[in-house]
Amino acid sequence: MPRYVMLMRDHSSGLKALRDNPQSALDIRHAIERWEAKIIASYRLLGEWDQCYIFDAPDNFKAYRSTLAQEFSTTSDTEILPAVDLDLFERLISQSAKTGGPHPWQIKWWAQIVRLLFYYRTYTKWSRRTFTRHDVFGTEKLRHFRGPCIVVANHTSHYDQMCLIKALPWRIKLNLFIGAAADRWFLEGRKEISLRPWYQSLVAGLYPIHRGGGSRALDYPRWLLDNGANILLFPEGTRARGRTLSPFKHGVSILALEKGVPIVPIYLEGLRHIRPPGRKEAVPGPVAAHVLDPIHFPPGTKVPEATEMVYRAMRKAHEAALAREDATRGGSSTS
Amino acid sequence: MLSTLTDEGRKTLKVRPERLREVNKELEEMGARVTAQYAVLGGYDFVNVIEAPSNEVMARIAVELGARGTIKVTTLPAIGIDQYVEMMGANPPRKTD
Repeated sequence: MPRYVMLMRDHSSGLKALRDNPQSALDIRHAIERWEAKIIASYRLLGEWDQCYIFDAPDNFKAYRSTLAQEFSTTSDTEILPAVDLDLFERLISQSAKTGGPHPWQIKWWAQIVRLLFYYRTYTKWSRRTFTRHDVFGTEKLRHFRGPCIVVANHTSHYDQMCLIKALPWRIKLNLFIGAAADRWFLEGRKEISLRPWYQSLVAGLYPIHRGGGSRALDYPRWLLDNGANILLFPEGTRARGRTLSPFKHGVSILALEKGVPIVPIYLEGLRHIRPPGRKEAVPGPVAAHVLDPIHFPPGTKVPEATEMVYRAMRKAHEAALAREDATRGGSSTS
Repeated sequence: MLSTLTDEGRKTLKVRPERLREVNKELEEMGARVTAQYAVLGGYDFVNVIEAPSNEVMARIAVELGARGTIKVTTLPAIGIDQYVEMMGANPPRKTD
């Protein structure tokens, strides 16, 4: 969860309230916690600021919203400073902001052989280490399926593709290319070979997506589909937090309608407990990949309709997964 | 301690990010301990929570760091909120003749 530092300067009315009732200093703590924030440290200061709170909040809006509570607005001025952990900050300023890729050679036959040779190292080793159980359902739907296609999945963890890849037949997965954030996975100048852009393109089959790149972000996936490749996209755009399935972006539908290729939705279950956003270490646990019916859009389908069709299919699987999770939790708590 | 980088400080940090850690070691040598440190967005560049044995030690540190010309610092003595509430609830000491 993102961290924030909040500095507060009391008005005279705030100081009077504090003098009459010192406990009112704690009201602010409760006001912050009402917005799902967790207080890490709190201090009373001597100097140009009067109070300092260090807290974790789900996002900028909730951090800001908590300061509009009555406890604040009538008694003090506030300044919220989004904070970056110093280790991460040091890493960020050491890195180049330049990104590499895409590498069109990644669709060549020899690159597919490299991916096959590295398959154990890239996927099997990690999934055995991280998934205590790895179920795959609905693979029969892809038995006679030929590409090119667009595979879409819900996104909650960096381990999503490790879970998903097992559900795909070899003819799809060796020719599958995965959109990944350029600013995270394609930065130039990394020391580790496995983090270099060419390695991501060759071994992991990733290609860079520049966030906020608009319609140009679809140029390379268009080229991949034109050349018979399959692509994997996470239409939520970024990893979802908690139990939500975020709204889908339209890029997937634009590509599918323009190129006349089907969408293969795969719902991934259990991954948000493995390594959700904000957690550095993976916690081993059971996961499952549910292959849903491939979606072929009838001629004349509009982009928003297509996005809605894909979202509805995933939403149904998502609600079923949440119901299973609640039933398991209920069962385990009563036993 | 709230600190803001000067232009020279930004250049130094870009070339040598490891300076951040080196400064922490130097603070320890001067008798203080950094318990939490964040790079922040807003009116300041860093927020540092530092434990020092006295205000005098902290004043010395502020001068030492400021004299390098790479950062401007604002030091604010801090009291834990719980301790503060307890202190505020206590009666003032009575004068004894």
